[in-house]
Amino acid sequence: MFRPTVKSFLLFVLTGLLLAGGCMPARERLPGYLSLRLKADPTSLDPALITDVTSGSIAAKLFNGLVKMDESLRIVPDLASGWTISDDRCTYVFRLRGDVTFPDGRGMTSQDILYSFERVLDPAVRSPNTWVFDRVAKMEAENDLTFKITLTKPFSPFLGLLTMPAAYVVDRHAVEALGPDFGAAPVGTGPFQLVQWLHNRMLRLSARKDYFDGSPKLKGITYRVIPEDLTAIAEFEIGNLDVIGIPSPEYRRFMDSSKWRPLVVSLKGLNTYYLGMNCLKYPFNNSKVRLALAYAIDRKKILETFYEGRGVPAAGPVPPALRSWPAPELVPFDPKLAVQLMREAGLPEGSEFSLYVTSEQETLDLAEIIQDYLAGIGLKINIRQLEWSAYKAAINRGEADLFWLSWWADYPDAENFLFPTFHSSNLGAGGNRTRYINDKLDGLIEAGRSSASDKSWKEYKKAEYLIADEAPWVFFWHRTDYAVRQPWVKGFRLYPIYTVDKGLVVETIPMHHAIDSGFGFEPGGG
Amino acid sequence: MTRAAVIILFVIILGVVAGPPISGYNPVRIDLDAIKLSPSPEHPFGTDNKGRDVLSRTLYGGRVTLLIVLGASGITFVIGMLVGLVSGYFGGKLDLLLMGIVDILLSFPTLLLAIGISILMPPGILSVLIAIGSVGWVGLARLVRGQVVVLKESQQVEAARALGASELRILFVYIFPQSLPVALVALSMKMGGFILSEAALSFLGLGVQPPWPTWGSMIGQSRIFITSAPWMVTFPGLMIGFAALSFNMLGEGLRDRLNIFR
Repeated sequence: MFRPTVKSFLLFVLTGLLLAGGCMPARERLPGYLSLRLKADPTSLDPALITDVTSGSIAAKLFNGLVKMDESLRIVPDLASGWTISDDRCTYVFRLRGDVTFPDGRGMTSQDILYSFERVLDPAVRSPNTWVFDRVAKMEAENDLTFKITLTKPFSPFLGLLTMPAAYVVDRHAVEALGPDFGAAPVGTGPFQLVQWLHNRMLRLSARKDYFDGSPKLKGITYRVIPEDLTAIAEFEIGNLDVIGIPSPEYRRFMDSSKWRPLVVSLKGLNTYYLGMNCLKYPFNNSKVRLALAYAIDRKKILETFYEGRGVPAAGPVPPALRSWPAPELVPFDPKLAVQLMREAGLPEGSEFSLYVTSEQETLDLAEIIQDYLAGIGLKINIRQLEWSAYKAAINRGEADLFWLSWWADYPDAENFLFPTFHSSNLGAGGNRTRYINDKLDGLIEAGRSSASDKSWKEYKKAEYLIADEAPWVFFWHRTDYAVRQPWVKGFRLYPIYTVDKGLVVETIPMHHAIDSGFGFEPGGG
Repeated sequence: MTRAAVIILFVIILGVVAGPPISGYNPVRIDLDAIKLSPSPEHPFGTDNKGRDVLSRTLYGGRVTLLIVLGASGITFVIGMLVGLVSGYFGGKLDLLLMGIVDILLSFPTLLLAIGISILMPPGILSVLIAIGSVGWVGLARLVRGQVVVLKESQQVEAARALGASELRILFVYIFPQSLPVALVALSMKMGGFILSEAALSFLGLGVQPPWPTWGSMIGQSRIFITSAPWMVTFPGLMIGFAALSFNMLGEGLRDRLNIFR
């Protein structure tokens, strides 16, 4: 039984040596194609079924929605050339572009939009994304180029929701022909089309020459499925991948290397990392205990040392880029105050709590650090590592005392960091996993949601300050993401939300140009 | 060979038993000001990505790992011996039944079975030990049974039977000691495998829970740092290699010395 282990280890080492020696031909490279890495095979590319970022980022290149988001997160036209919003802020009328076609040449009309949206709501499709449309009262295709949506009541982030994959427009003929297989052979109006998908190995997209918004500079994109970080790094370093997200253990190495440092791109992500506490459970139903935990953990120090400064400290749930008001004050590190708060709350030393984490390496590392800090104020933490879906189920049930999680924006609105995560209607799976219930907060968030989008921030500000005081989360940081590109890749950047990137700007320049311009790169073989 | 194996094992056991107090650091104490330090007189094996001393973690982890190996060997020995003796000596339907069970268990990959068993129990040293031990005995039982089938026909046993010795006396006074060498050799060879099983289970997060280290979990947690802080994974890896190797060499040495399996 152990032979195979030893053998595969040797094989691994040998492969590593071969790769490092650069004598492996780069089989899956085509000129003009951008080669990217996926950590896992996409679950489905059917927009109605997509819930993960990996699939969503690929779908963004195959499909379009009525509106999309630009780099600075403003809502801009996509399939719609413009829109009007009625005075009661309930009716949206979209004017559509007339030059949009599917790959088979058929023109896209408002009927296709109606079909796509109704499909998401069709119980037979079992879409997990019906919530995107749950405030919609009526949808009408008034004529071929006019589409009208009526909401049940005013909802300021609605246009943001329409940028999500669930609101992408699919090719009705392909859906009807393929049925459930549409997820494996998706067809849309986007700048790319899927030409090949070898499951768990690679996907290939090719650019459409007739894309309405100007054809992409690339000939296509090759996504290679490489689960192991180390393998992906090796593939990148020998030039088989064009861009790679930097895994945290490798961050220092790339940043300290004079060769790679200039090629690193970074982005302050729309996310918040936090330690969640179950606010319905003793003793975390007491805000003093919750604050004590925040005072007991030196989050700034963890960010600067262990996390190597890959983020900014979080003072509240809303990321700085979405906050148009001054941030609440950071809770400082003060273990003495933490102990005092614990005493006031009557929590005895030596109390034991469970801390749930996923099986991801970095998460476990952080859990161990949190465990160490809380031992400092006399709390015993038992770490429970669970596989992702088991973890999610346990957290949604409210089984854990403490858990480590992050919240990432679905659409760029402060509301997305307040309503799903702290409103009492979203307990558990909805996003309020700390089970925090506060009528006053509910009122503030609701008021913000129904006021005009340029005024809602006043309510959101009050809501965030209340959350900071009540501390159902211990706020850690907003993480910055890093990627590194090859010198022959031009126009690559990271985007705050995956749907922004349609792959129109990035390009690869022929290898000899890269070498001419001073980068001493060997062509990546084959 | 055998001597070398014994010396290596002795050094490892000595280090592991006496080690943690000597190394001067608490194996779970996190020091965020001493992250990923390369080996130095202060930290001979360097520090990990949370500033913990790798030497004291390796020594402490060895304690846990060797404890698991010892416990699993104990379980393997007791169950394997018992099943082998009973099955081989009494034969008949009982033999058929027991060997049938053995056949069934042998048809599963052992690691898969161990994973299955350890999932049923709360994670910890004890459950790893039971998981590994309860799949390890199968091969041993089969081996011992074969030995017993031969031994029970031997003249010595026949003589004892003629003198009116009871079945139990024959089994434990005449047959057991003679089947012992084979069992011991097989067991010492298995021990190397147990270390790797523990490593595999802890690597998968089913073993001893953090922050307490074992060699396997240290490798599992640090392998991603092999390019940026290689000492984190190298030292526990070397220890696993040395320990598994010397258990195997010990087994081979015993086999040569006890003159079996010629």
